[in-house]
Order: sequence, then structure tokens, then C-alpha cells
Amino acid sequence: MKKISIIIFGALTLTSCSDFLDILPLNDVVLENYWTQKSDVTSVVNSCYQSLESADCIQRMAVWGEMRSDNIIAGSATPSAETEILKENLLPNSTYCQWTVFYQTINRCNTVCHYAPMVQKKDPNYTENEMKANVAEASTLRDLCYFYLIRAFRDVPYTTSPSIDDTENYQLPASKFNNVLDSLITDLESVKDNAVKRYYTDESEMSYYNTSRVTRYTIYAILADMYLWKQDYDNSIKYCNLIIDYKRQQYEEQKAKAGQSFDIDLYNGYPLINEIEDGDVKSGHAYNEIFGQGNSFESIFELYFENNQSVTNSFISSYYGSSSNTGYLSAPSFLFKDVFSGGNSTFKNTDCRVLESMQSASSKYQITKYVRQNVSFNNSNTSSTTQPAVTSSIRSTSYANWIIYRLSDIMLIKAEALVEKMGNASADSAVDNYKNAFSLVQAVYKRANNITLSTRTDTLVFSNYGGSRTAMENLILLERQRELLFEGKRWFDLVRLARREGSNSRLVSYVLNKYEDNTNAIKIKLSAPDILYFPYSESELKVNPNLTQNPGYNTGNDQEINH
Amino acid sequence: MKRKTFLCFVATLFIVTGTAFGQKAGQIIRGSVHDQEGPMMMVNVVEIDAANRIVAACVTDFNGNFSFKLVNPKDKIKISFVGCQTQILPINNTVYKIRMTDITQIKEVVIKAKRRSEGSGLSVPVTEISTARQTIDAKEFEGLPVTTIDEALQGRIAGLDIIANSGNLGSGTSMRLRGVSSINGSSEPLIVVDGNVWETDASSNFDYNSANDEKFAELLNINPEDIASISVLKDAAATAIWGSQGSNGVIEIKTKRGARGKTKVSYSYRITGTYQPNGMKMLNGDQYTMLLKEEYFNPKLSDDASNIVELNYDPTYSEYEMYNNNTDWVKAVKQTGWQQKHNVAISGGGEKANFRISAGYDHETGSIIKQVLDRFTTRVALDYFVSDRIKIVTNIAMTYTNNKKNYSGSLNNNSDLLSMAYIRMPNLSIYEQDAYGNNTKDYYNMLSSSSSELSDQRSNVNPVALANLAKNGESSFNIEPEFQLKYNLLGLSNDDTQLTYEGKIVFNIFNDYNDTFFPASLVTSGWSSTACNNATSSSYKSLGVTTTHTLTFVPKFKNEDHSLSMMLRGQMTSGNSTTQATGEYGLPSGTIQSTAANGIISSNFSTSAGQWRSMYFTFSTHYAYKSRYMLDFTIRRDGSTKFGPSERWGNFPALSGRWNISDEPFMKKHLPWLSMLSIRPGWGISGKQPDAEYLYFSKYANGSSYTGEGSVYQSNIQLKKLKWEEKESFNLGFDFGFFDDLINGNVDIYTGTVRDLLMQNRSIPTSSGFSTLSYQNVGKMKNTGWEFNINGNRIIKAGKFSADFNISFANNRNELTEMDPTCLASLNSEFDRSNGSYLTRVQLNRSLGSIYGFKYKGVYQYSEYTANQVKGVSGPNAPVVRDASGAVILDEKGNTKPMYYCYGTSSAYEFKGGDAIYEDINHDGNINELDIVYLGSSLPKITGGWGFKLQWGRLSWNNQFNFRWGNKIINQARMTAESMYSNNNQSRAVNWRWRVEGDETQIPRALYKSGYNWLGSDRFVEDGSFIRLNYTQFSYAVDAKALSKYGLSQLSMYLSANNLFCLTKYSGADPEVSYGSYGIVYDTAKTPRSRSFTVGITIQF
Repeated sequence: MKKISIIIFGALTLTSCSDFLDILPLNDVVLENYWTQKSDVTSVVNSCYQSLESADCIQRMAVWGEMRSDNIIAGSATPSAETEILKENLLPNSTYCQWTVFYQTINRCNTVCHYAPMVQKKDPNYTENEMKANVAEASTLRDLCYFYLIRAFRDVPYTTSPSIDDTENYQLPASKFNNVLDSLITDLESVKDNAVKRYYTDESEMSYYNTSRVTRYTIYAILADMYLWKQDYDNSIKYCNLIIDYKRQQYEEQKAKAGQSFDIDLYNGYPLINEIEDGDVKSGHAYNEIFGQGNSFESIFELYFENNQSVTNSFISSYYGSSSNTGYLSAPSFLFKDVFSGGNSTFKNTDCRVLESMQSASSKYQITKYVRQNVSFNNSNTSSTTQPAVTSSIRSTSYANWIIYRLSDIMLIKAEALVEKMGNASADSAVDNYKNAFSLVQAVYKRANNITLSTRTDTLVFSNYGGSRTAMENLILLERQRELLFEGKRWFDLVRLARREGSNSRLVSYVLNKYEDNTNAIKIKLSAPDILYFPYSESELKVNPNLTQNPGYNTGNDQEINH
Repeated sequence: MKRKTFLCFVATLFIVTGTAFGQKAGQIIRGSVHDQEGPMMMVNVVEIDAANRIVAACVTDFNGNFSFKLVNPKDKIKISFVGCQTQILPINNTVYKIRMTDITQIKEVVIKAKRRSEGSGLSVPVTEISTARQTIDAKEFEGLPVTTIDEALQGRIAGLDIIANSGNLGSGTSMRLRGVSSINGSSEPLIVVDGNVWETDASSNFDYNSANDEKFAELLNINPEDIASISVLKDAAATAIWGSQGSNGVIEIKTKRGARGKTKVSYSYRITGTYQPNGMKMLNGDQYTMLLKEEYFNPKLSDDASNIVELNYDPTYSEYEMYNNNTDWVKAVKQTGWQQKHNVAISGGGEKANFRISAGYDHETGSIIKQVLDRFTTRVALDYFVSDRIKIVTNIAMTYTNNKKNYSGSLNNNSDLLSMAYIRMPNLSIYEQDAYGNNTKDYYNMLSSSSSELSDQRSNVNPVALANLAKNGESSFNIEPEFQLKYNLLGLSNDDTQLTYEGKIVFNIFNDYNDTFFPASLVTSGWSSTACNNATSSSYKSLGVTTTHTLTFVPKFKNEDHSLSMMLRGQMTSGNSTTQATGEYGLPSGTIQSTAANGIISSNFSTSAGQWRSMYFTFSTHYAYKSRYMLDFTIRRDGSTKFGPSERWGNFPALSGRWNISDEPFMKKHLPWLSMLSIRPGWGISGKQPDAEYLYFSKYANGSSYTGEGSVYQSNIQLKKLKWEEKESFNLGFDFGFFDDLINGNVDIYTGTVRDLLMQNRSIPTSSGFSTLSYQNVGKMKNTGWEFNINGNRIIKAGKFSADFNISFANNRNELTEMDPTCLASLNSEFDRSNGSYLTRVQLNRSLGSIYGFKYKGVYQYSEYTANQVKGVSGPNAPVVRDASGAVILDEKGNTKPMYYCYGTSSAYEFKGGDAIYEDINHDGNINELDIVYLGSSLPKITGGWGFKLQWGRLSWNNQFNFRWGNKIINQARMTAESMYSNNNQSRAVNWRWRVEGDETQIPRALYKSGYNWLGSDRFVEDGSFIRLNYTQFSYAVDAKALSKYGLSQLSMYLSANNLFCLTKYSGADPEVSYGSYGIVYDTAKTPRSRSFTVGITIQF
């Protein structure tokens, strides 16, 4: 009897206990209750963007993409991690060797791709096309992240499955640069037609969606860039054309609606925002549209920072500067010095981009691109050797959008593809392509130098460059440097050059421009091909035995690049 | 006597005759009560049922008459009166005439019973306990000047290592029972008060390994005066009934209860004076400025570098008067602290109820200025006997603590007052001074216009001003009501088979509030600073409810040699907590200090909520044959919300036995002086669960928005594989007792292996999108050791004189035996080449707490090398490369090679005269990570204590010592005080620094922010062994006979001294420093344990 009662007592309490021990988080939703409706998918898609625009991420996009190039030197109060990179002293314990935030974005995108089809089956309001568009959006962001990673580290772990639980093996070995790039291209090719073409009309208040979220044209832009790295120039040109044609069409539409006062002009037939607005003599207009306001006509994809929310682009304020402090980074003197006395080899005194991107302050050249809300100056007097007065205002809070692709970038990609497509063919046989490429470069240059003004004559002449492939390459590189200054592009341009050539020598000669002393040591350091990429982070190697350090950073071990 | 017997007989006869009448319910029963002197008034007359429950009651009137309505004729009538023998009569009459007899006439009854263990499990005679446990009776520390029980336990329990966190008021202790058992989780033992576990939301609010020790101390806020006994359960067999909660050991506290008898009131009062022991002697202002000038000059060899206006004693400098002083900042923040403690307890009880009510009030001021703590504790214990079968127990305990602490937060770099005083520039004045050097009433803070070199000193706030102007108040309420019902289902006496049910519900309410204010008058950087009039306010509330059901079954065997008892218990706990914090800065005025006032700029606001639940079942059985052979078996099944459904339940069995050899007849015959010899083998598995909830879920959290649309992201990796950490331990114990237990003690040898070691925040490849798993089972750890404990009770007895003693010591060895290599690698940081850091290494087959660093060999006397000394110019003790035999290595040109630090890296440095010499272990001429060696362990080899008590009549002298031996401490306080690297004030030892070529010294030269003179080396690793006189106490009890005249039953007085001396080679203020991460001990000059003297008095009436 006693035993029976004990058993009953036990059984009674046991039946209810599994319920009792199930408690759900108070602040979060659990997987079991998530992924049931359309908004669950779109919310996670938003988190992919949100991760992409975190300070950690933009910092790396900029540092990986540009800091080791000739565009950047130390500014004021530069932290040690940045100083070491500027000294070409890349250590595996540097914070810039950590790629966590990129894989965080990748994982979020993977989650969307994994769960969205299941949601579509559950939620009748979620159409297949919407689902496919979301998957395309997530895939694109993921592939963009991988594209950054391979350009910074060359070989990286590659996965498209989400990290959900601890039963999975996360110790992935690195996949080769080319394999990853091929996978990315295949992936983007497969989703490109599913993506949204346009979210809102250009007149809509919400039209910023068209350039701050993934559209078909974002995918085209990434593909054009990827094909350029893959050295598949025909495809690169194909995608550039799709974008340029679309922009031209958009220009026609807008012009038809706007009538007379219209701030986009055709330069060699390419629509670009002009520097001088109709009836004005002040330059700076293109800057104000593209960087000041953001989401301009020229934009293809940029990360959006709202004025009314707490997320700020703190990268800009701390690295480039803000109203209260000068940034950690600044521009080397060769980019600014003697521009107005005519002695600068990079910029002409008519080039608006000088005064838009930099300013001279206390023996340094501060970076002002993105930092300023607006800028205006009069450089119509070509014969003047003095710097025109600049009026500008700096953003009180750093809400500058971070631009990833814009039209002039695509035009110059196309120019590069056109030139490289001809390979070692003689200049004569390549002349058509060279001319086309030159026309693209010139269009960008013309806009920046206000060459549409009656007082200006074009200083860029085809005959000076069309004679050789190297001259064309140099011209394109130089124009990319001037146009995309401080946009996180220059170092990747140089690495692409070095990869194509199989030699670092041209890259080194460019980079050495910024160094005043210790140039020999830098030259030696940068001679090995492996050294163009960042080392894997020490902490990552510790926990991932399947990852082998880039041989360029193995102490006392000079292995050759082999892939 | 004869007459009384006769009368009783008559009464009985009378009753017996009455049986003839049949009684009915509702009938009136009447009667009268009298004794030999006549009718008795106010006698209790009650009707009781079969379970002795009162169903009807009345009292006799002036004439001794009573009457009541009968409820059930089967019941009995019970007549009782104070001082008289109670009578129970069957109800077989309507009229009773009762004669009461005096109680003193009853013959004395001798009751034989064995002393039983007082724990939460089965009640077992002490000599039958087969597990490793040690109990201390509260009498042993009655009247000691301790504020919490952990202080009283120090050095008393073998294997329990207790270290005070700091000498600040209410900052508590950290305890390790049988070694460290966790990589980065809590190693604190479980505290159980009257069978109730303090369970809280450990995840978000209790970070045991870091600063939040004070919170843990709050939990121990039980008044030592209320404690009846403390038992420490050490091995797995003992802790088995606590299952997963008890893997770090269990401390069971039993509180006092009321007892039947006259109501007693006792009052005690004591007053304690405390002061700080002397720490390092610091430089005065003149010595400091001289040092700083040298420090700035040396690296650059430039007078310009050392031309700092604050150090120049330039009378034309506007702040000259403020920088020309010799301030002893340490002295300025110290004071004599006072503690006053009042305690009142009322206890008593009658037939139906026992009670004890106690209240204590504590008022303490710290040995550091402006620390004030008030604590009010009260405890009400009530036992109500409804009947012989039913008993209701209620306990209500409440503690209120109001602790006014020194401000410590991000605005003063989280440092405490004393460490701020140690580093402050001594040439600076406390107060602003007028042109003649007289102090004004305003505190002086360095101006924001002061030299940029001294900016670190500027951001360090004036500690005296901080203590007086800033505020940091913490107050907490802890209320714990408990209701218990005991029901004897079967058997009322020990002679029957017993089955008892006990049901219990406990509420645990804990509220904690913290308010801080940092006034603008402490900063000179202007009103936009976040430090300006910064107020914060935070609160934490938690409520826990625990219900427990226990069934105890004790069968009675015909053969009395067998005894068996069994217990089945089930418990459910559920609780939740919320925290809130708000902060504001830029409040308009320093006199408005509340966050309720609208600040110009409001900042951080946060809330969080927690929830926890647990459930377990325990079955425990004890079997004894002839009280000589014992066997215990316990199994506990633990359910946890922290694991997924597949790993949710853990089973933790334990088995132990005991053989009382001394009870064997042949032993009794041959060794009669051996009163106890027993052997106790035990085995058991206990478990541990992680500190965080919701681990097995994949959670989706809200992120910030993008293009105005909200975002949600997966915030963790779901832990499907996570399982219980299991600790399997073996214990072999021996108990011994000589001369009727005049001397008794025990020895225990144990080994414990922790499997599936839980590690928090385990690093994983970030290519997964996450950098850590919140928990993983990563390896194995082993703790082996032995403990020895001996007590002597009145070992010497000569007339009025008697002496007692106790000794305990213990040894523990910790070893990591298995761990995933990637996990090990991620725990071990790389050498960062910077000054002041030691390598922490977690290595297989080594213990935690290992310290690694360079070997320090003194100071280079000269920069230039010559084989023979040229006085003041060059000599053999210079930085040149030598081979293993000590011979100088020359290059092909015959020149010596210079010594380098980390050659070929960005930290490369060539050693010069006056720099520290580090041993070049591999003789490569380069001091780098390859020259780092093992320097010792922070874990002590032996810990323990001893005490003795001498008594002469009513006067007694009680002493208790505790010690630790063989542990190393990194004296970070001395390191920073001898580094001569920053603007911080330095200890007087640096007066011996190297100044010019040829100086022979052990202290290197001063170099401002350059050089490598204070790398982590054995120079700052010191032996932390110590012997401390924990307390010494004289007490005197006044003769009870003399007191009775005044209606008093007890009057005793005592005088005691705490921490009177500490024998140690350790150069810091106190060798008692609590553990840091991975068991390494850093002494950061936290406030040391203070010394104190106490006078106290206890009165009972």
C-alpha cells in the first residue's frame, strides 16, 4: 500500500514536469515560433542590411579596400591597429584581420535563403515571386560579403548553409579564391532575374529604396565587378551595359518630366549629375547630390542611414572626421599639394573633386568626402593659381550613406574591361575598344572638370593614351583614383592589377607615392604576392585547425603563391 | 504521598463507575478542579481526539468549575495547569471532580538518545554518518566580532578555503571547497538555510568571477546570532541530495528555534573599532617631483621633456600653491571605523507552540572614509503543534541592508578610494589653497588647462572630494517567509513504524536598489561632459517560490539490530526577476541628485527580465546493522530548464558506507580508550548546470531598423548537444575518537573528476557568423586532496581550569586532464610584449592558477661593457649577450653584442644601463616570449587553521588562527608602485632606483612610457603564505546565582581582537587576495582586511 502510494505520488508529479520545465525567453522569439509569415522573412532580410551597415563592417570595407593604397595616410590620434596597417605591418592579432561581422551578415542571409521557401508554403499571403525576390536579395548581400572577403583574404571558408545548432562542424577549411568567385557568380546569375527591378517610382518619397536595397541593377553591378576580377571581360561589359542603358532610360524619363531645369547632363552620351547647376557659377553640385544627400540618380547601391534613427555611420566621423574632430586618417600630400599652382600630377586645378574630397588643415590634408553635408566653390577661373574659397557645412551627426556602387564606378569598370579584353593585341587593332573606353573615362573627367563650360577646353586627349595598353590602363586607374577617392576601392583596384599582371611591381610603385621614408622596407615587404592579402586572425586560427595561415605571414617561411 | 495515591484512586474509581452512562455528542460535560489547597482557577480543560487535536476547550472559573459541549464521545478529556501533572481521562461521565497533583512529585525519567545529525536529509545518528561532513555548533563562535558567518568559518573547516574579497564594508568572501572545479563558471559552494536554497537568476546578475562578489555577500546576510549550527557537506555522497546544485559543495545552516519553557529574553551589544593595517609607504611630494623629472628626462635625454610646470615649484605659476605640497593621500582616506551591533532575541514555548523572535541592528562605519552600513535583520520562528500528528512551522526572515559605499564607476575608472589614493600626485593639495598656502573649504581638482603630460592624473578624481561629494548607495531587502506542515501518517513514537509527510512552501523576495551621483564639482572639463552631475539609479527585484514534499519512512524491525530509514522528496522552484537601470547626466544642480530630476541630457536606460524553474526528486535511504555497519544510498533526479528535452534530466547517484570498528566487541575489550574508529568509503556523482537559461533555443532578437523597417536576427547558436557537467568523486574517510571522545577528529582522502566540463562563451570559428557558443562541454578536470581535522574537548581539566583545541588542514591538487585543443588554444592568449602582463596558460596536466613570466635578475649597472669595472663609466654588468656559461659572446670583429628585447618586432628595444635584467633562458641575445618560464601557482598547497580555548572558571580565552601555505600572488599593486612608467605616485622603494652609471641596485631607472622595466617577471610574484590570528577573545560570565537576585539568568562580557597579526613574507598590505580568472591571483591593492577590537555584553532574563 505504501509503495503504491509512493509510486502514485511520483507519477502524478512527473506527468506535469516536462511542461513545467519548458520556459520561453521573455525578450526573444524562438525558432519554433518564427518563420511563419512574410514579415518574419522581411525582418531578417532587414537585419542583413543592418549588419552590413554596422560600424565594424563599413570600417572593414573601407580599410580593406583602401587603407593600404596610396590614398591614405595617418590622420590625428590614429589608433595602433590602423597605424600598424599604414606601416604595412600587418599582424594576425590586428582587429582588421577579424571578419566576424561579414560572416554574421552571411549567416543571416543564409538563414533567409534556408527558411524563406518554408515560410512561403505556410503563409498564403506570401507569393512565390516575393519569396524569390527575398532570396535574391539575401543571396546578393551574402555574395557581396564573400566578394569583400576574398578580395581582402584571398581564400576564405565558404558556406551557404545557416549556422543553427551546435551539432554542425564549423571548422571549415578555406576555399580557393577562384572557386569562391565562381560560386558567387553562379549564385548571382541564378537569382538575378528574381530580384526586384524597382521598388518605387523615382518621384516617390520612398524612392531611396531603389538604391539602398538590392535591385536587379545591384546584382548587375556586383556581377560586372566580379567578372572583371575573373577576367571574363565580355560578361563584365554585358552587365555594365545593362546598367548604363537603364540609367540612360531613367535619364530620358526624368528629363521628359522635369523639363528645363534639370541637373543631369549627358557627357559623351552618358548621363551624369553636373557639377554646376544651370545658371550658377558655383561647383559642388554633384558632390551634394551624391554624397551630401545620398541616393542620387547615379547611385546603384548604397547603405542607407536615416536622419531620424539612432544608427549613424560612425566610421565616417571617427576615421574621416566630423564637426568636432579630425579623423584617424588623412590624405597624402601628393594628392592635394600644388594643385592650384599646376604642379600636381593627379589633379588639374579645374578638378572639382580636389576641393570636394579634401581640405588642407594644419599640415595635414583632411578627408572631407562624406564628412560634408554640402560644399560650394567657384573654380571657373582656370588661370588662377590660388585655391578658390570653399563654403561648406559639416554634418552635425554622421548620417552619410556609404556608397558601394555608383554609375561612374560602373563606367570605369566597363572601360577597364574594354581595354583588358583586347589583351596584348596591338594598339591599332584594339583602337575601337580603346576609344570606347576613353570615351567613358572622359565622360567622368569632363563632369568633374566642368568641361561643358564654354571657357574650358578638354585636356584629356585620346592620342596621348590610345597608343598603348599600359597608357590606357594607367589612365583608367588614375581616373578611378580621382573619382572614387576614399570610397574603399583603390587598394582592390591595385590588387586586381597585380593579380592580372602576376607581379606586384606596379602596385608597389603606386603605393610608394605616399611613403616619405622607409620606402625600401615597404618595397621589400610588398614584393611577395601573398602579402597583398590580410592574414587570418590569430583567434580564428586557434579555434579552426582546418584553416592554414596565409604563407606570407608565416614567420621565416617564404612560400610561393600556388593557385 | 500515601494520601495522594489514595485520592487518585478515589478519583479513578469515580470515573470508572461513570462508564455505565453512555455519552452523546452535544451533551454538556461539567466538573470542578481542585488541589490540596482548594479549587483551582484558570485550569485548561480540553477535549482531544485520537490525534491529540483539541476539539473543544474551556478554563475553570473562580470556583474551579468548568463545562463544555461534547463533540465526540470517543474523545478524551485533558486537564492541564502550569506546575501540575496533566491528566487525560476517557469521556464516560457528565460530571467530573478532578484533583491535580504537583509536577515536582514525578520521578525523574532518564531518556537515552543518540545525537543526531541536523541536516536536510535523513536524520541519522552522528556516529552512523557515512559521508564527509563537518559540523560546527554556533556556540563556538558566540560573541565573536564577525558580521557574517563566512568570517566565522575561516580556518575552521578542513578543505574550505575562504578568502575575503576586500575590506570594504559588506564586500563578502569567496569560498572554494575542495578546489576549483570550473573553468569560468562559479566555484562557490551552495548555501542552504534551514533546507532552503538561495536560488536566483544567476545568469544576468551574478558574475561570480568578477566584481559582483558583493552581491553574493548579500545572500549571506543572515545574522550570526540566529545560527544554531553550520554543516559543511564535502563529498558527493553528502551532497547527493542536493544533486546538481551541490557540485561545489554545500554549506547547510540551521537557525535557532524556540523551545518549550519559560520565555527568555536575551540582549547583546557590542562595539568594534577597526583600522587598516599599513600598506606600502608612498613617496612624498618632494621625492615624487624629483622622480618624475628623471622619468621624463631619461627616455629622451632632454630637459624640455621634463619641463612640466606642475613639477617646477615655480612661484609665478598661478596654481603654484596647489602643487607644492606633501600630501599623504593614503592617510587622508583612512580612518578608524566603528561597528555597533544590537541584538534582541525572545524565545519560549508552551504545550501548543514554540517561538523565537530575534532582531538585530548593525551600524558600521568603514576603515576608509565615508563608508556607512546599516543592517537590520529579523527572524521569527514559530512551531505550532496542532496535534501529536500535525505540526505547523513558520519562519519569516527579513534583512534590510543600507550600504553607503564610496563611489566607484566608470567615471573614476571603477577604482576604489584606497587605490586612487595610492596613485595620486602627492605634491597636489587636497583643498584649494589661497595665495599664502592656506587651505580653503573647496576641494581641489586639477584644471583642464594643466599640462597634457599629466592628463591621466587629471582624470583621476580627488579621492577625498569623491568620498565627500559623490554618492553610491545600495540598499536591499530580503524577505523569506516559509510555511511548513508536518503530518505523521503512521506511528507517533520511535517504537512504531513511522511514515511522515512534510510539505513546505518558501517564498524568496529580494529587492536591491542602487543610486549613484557624481557631482559636477569633481570635474573641470566643462558642462558638456557626461561626468557632470551624473546620476544613475538601478533596481533589481526577484521572487522565487519553492514547494517541497517529503515522505519519510522509518520501519520498525522486530530485531532491534536492524535500522532502516528512507526518504523521498520532490521539489519545484519557480522564480522571476527584473532589473531596471536609468542614468542621466547634466542635472542642473549638484544638490538635486535624483534621476527623477530632468537632466539636460538623459542617457542609458535599460531593463531586463529573467525567469528560472527547476524540479527534482531525491530518494535516500540509510541502513544500519547494530549501529556498526552502515550503508547509505541516495539518488537524485534533476530536471532543468537549461537543457533541451533530450538532455533535460540528469541522474545523480551516491553510495557510501561506514564501519565503526571501535564498536566491535574485541576492540571494546582490548582498546577501551578508543571511543571511535571508523572507516567511511563513499562514491557519488554530482552534476552542474549552466548559469544561463534558454540555451537550447534558437532565439530571434530585435535589431535596429534599416530604411525605417524593423529587423530581427538569430541571436545565438542553439545548443542541442549541451549536457550536464558531471563530477564523480570518491572519498575515503576515517573518524577517530579517544578517551570517550575527549579527542576526536577525522581524515578524508578524496579524488573528484569533473567530466564534460562546462565552459561559458566557448570561442568557435567566426566563419559561422558567431564568435562564441554560450556553453560547451569541453573537457575533464581532476581535484585530489586530503583533509585532516582534530578537536579536543576539555583535554586538560584541573579544578577550575580546562582547555579545548581544534586543528584542521587540507591539501588540494587541481589538474586539467582533458580538453579540446582548439578550446585550450582560445583560452591562451599570445604574449603581447607589453609591460605588466603575465601569460595565463591553461594547460593539460597542469593546475589552473599557473603563472608564467620572465626571470628577473636585477639591474644593469653600466651601459658600456668592459671586463673590469671602470668606476662610473663601464663594467661587466652591462647589457651584452652571454652564452650558457656566462661568457660574453663576441662578433667577428671582436665586439660585444647588445641585448635586445623582442628584436625584429615593432616593440624592439635595446637594453641600456639601469634597465632591468631578464634572464636570457635560451641565450640568443634576445629577450622574448621564448624566455618565459613557469613561476608558480596561485593555488595554495595547504590551507587550514587551528584554535584553542582555555577556561578558568567562568573566564575563557578563545583563539583562532588560519593559514594558507604555498601559494603565489602577483603583487600588481607593488608592480604599479615601482614601475616608474607613468605619473602615478610610487612607493618609497623607488628611492633606490638606478640613477647614474655604476649604481648598484635592484630597482631599475625611471622611464616615462618607454622601456621594458616592469615586464611580468618573478620580481612581482610573491609567496602568499601566511598565518593569521583570526581572532582572540576573552570572555567572562557572571555567576548565575548572583544574578538571580536581579531577575537575570545570564550576564557575560567579552573583549576580542580580530586579525591582530598576520605572519607573512608577502610585502603587500594583506596576503588574502581573491581569485581572478583561471584561478590566478592579482593583488590590485583593494582595501585589505581591517584590524579590529571589540567589546561586547550579553544579558539574558
